[in-house]
Amino acid sequence: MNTKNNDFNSTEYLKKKISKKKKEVSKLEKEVNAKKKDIEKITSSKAFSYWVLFNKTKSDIMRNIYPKLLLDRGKTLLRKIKVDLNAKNYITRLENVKVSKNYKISVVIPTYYAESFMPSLLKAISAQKHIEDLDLIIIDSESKDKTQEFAKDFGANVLTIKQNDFTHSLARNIAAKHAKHDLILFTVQDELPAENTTFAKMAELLYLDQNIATVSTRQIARPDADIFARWQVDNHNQALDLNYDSISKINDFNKFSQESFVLQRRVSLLDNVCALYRKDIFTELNGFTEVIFGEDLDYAFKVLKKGYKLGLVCSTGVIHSHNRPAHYFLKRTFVSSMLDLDLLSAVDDSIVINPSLDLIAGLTISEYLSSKQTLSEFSKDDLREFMNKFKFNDFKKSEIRSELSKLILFSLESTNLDNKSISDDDILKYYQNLLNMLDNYLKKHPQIIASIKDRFGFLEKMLGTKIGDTLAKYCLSKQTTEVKINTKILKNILFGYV
Amino acid sequence: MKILLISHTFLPKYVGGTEVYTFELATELKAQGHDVEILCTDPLSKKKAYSLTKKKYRGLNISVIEKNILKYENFEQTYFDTDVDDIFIKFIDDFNPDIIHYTHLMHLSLNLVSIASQRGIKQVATLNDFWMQTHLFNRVTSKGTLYKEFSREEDARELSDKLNSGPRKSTPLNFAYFLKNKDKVEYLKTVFKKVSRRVLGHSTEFLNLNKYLNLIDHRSDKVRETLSQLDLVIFPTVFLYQEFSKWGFQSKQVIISEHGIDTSLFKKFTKEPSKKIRFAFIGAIIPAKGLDILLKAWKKIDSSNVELKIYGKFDLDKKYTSSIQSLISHSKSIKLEGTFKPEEIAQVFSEVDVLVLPSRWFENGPLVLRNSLLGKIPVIATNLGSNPEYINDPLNGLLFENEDENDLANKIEFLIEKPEKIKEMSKKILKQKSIKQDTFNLLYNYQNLLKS
Repeated sequence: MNTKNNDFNSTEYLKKKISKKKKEVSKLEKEVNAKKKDIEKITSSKAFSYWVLFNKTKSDIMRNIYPKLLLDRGKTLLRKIKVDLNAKNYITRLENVKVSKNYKISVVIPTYYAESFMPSLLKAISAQKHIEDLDLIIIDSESKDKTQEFAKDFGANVLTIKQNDFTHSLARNIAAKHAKHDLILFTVQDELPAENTTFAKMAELLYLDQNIATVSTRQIARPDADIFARWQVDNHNQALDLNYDSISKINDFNKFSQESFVLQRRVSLLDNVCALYRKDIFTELNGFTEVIFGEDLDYAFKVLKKGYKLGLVCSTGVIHSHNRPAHYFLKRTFVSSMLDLDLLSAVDDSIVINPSLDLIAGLTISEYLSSKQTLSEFSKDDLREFMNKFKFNDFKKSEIRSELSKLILFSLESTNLDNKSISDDDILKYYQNLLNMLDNYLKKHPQIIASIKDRFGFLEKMLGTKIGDTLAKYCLSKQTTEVKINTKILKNILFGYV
Repeated sequence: MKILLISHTFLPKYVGGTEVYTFELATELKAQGHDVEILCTDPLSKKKAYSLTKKKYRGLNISVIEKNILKYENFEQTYFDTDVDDIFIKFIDDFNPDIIHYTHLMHLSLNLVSIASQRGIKQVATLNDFWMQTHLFNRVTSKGTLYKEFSREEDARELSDKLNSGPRKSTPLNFAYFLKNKDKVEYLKTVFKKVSRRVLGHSTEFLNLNKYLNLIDHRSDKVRETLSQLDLVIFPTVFLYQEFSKWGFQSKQVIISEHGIDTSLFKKFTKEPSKKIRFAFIGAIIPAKGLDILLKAWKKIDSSNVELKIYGKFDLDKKYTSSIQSLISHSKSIKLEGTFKPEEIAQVFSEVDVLVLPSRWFENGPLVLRNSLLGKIPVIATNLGSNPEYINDPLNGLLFENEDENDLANKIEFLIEKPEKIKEMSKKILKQKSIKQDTFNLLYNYQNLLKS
């Protein structure tokens, strides 16, 4: 230290100092260059170009599409007001039910390889309060795991049905014949009641009025539900306004058939995920009709047509949702839309049918997405290049990657849908609209955390349902003239080989 | 597999259901040849704050983070602690675990999950109580009542009370303490602060609830973010799962899986015969455990052929203890048995015919209930929390309504009048999940996470 102090003014010391400073400068320069490179890397990346594109398209949408959207929103609001006004003709709003006594119920659960659900399901059932006697009936489709063992240990009445014979209607009809009590609760293996008074609250509402044939409840998404599953449950609850306990009844069926789709769906709501039935009426109506799907909705119409009432308890619920692949949603929505529309025979003016756009956009995007790993790789140029490569007419010739695309093609063939010219911009805007839908949902539910991967999954699944729904509407509109959709095609799509 | 188990506190200083479960799980994992480390805190340590003490406890490696929670300066410190984060980073960099399994995060820091997540380590958490949902981890309010339905407003009000009354044990408001206290000026200042906070605080802060709502929301946001980063969340009871689902959170995978318990102590279990029917209460003598309800019910019992055995520590809550003592002095046929070592549990149950669990809080599969069922001893419990998941009334036990001593007395009398029911119920009690089975399932889940 001392020597350094002595040489404080020497040239050598100054030289050393200068070279030290130079080193510092070059180090700083290196850092600046590195930062510059980083910035270049970011601005030249596809993610950045997508971001720029996203903002550009957004302003485009603001200018061109936003006024239209605003008008649409106004129309939707008007429609909602109309629905709310008309709803009063069919739906009686109630104070939330409070349990006043104990009930005896029979619980029916169809099972198939339910080993992993059984312990918690049985615990949740035995923890139900205000239940004087509970008679559990399990109807199992030849599971080879511990499903039946768990049920027997619990003291359940275990019935079996051959896997090949199983339909939702038949299994439940057989089990209902073994019910000891006057109330039968139909539920499923992968749900859990949201609280220990769920069953009793449903029973309380059922006993409010001799003419209430069934009471169902609303669903709550599981904590490990993906964004799409969450959106589905929340959207269903919101669209049908499942916020209060109520009773529905139809006095004038002719008038009812003129009502909007949403109102018809709300009035006839009966969900076998968890629903309580009065046994005498169930027997009187000969149980569930043999349908491939939607035996609950079918039963709801039998009830309403006979002049009985349907109850709904929204002050409790069941925890139930599924994380499923996109192609499942296409099949499921297609079939359920076909049946809904067929049964409800309503004209839904809220959805503009543009099958070509839905299908071709869906086809293009799903095929595109399946070839990419993350959404950040997505850019407009990529999409254009991709669309040039895969023009609609070439789809059949080219090698199709995604499962979803295969289904769309299959469905296109079965509906004889014509190709109409769709521009690339149309598809981009379509895509943008779906993203906006998700953004709106996330804005309303700020506690939901959505990663890029989650958004990506949402898009694909959303496409599945949109295409399924559009196909169903298209098929039904053609049904009278050109295409006859028969149960065989429906069954193939639902359980099918595709 | 290298497994890091993280618990808020640990044996032998802190004894509770979570600590015992963590210990049994660690022991079983180690016995199966896995490399296990336990990280925990001593929240009331007198050692240098944020030093790490390495210990051995019954063959397990324990690292204890020393800290003192009485020195917290704000609410956020109860769930974020950067000093704990620093220790954790060093710890995982040294140990390099494949799996981190949290059995509790209290006194630690929510940040641990995002730190490990950034490093790509797979993480599992078992939620044993309501700490992730509310600062009232056992859902008992400051007045000692049950906090039935979760609500933001109630949570904020409770927080306002908690923060405005200050640390209770450290500065009791009594004259004896004043005489003993050396720094009298400092003490008077604290008393003045407390009193003025109570008087002013309640009027202004109560109106100013928003401030506390913000604090509650901030905590909830951080907890929800943490839960979403976990690879697997396990609930030991359906009841907890239902309560958290209603509260609303998301995670990658969520399962319900009952805790396994050490079945070895009950291997050669036999009952000591007795002419009398022996009812028992086993637990801490604190209001939440509800011994007073049982004693009030017991007064109504008129039979010479019975006895009530009480096992537990009496000096935990002086006011409550004196009320219990006066109830006991008015009753007949009560035996005070004191405390016992955990390994003596089977011995204790060999001389018990019916266990009574009169808790007025949401129990989540408490050990005493599980051990009773392991020994096939029927239980009469409050119809509350997860109790009905274990007791199928009237098949293998009985349930009574919370705070209803008449209902409890009826249930006790039912078994006195029909003692043959005790044997019938005993036969219907289901097998309890062993820690071996639980560990087997957990390892399967760990492996699945590592594969993905």
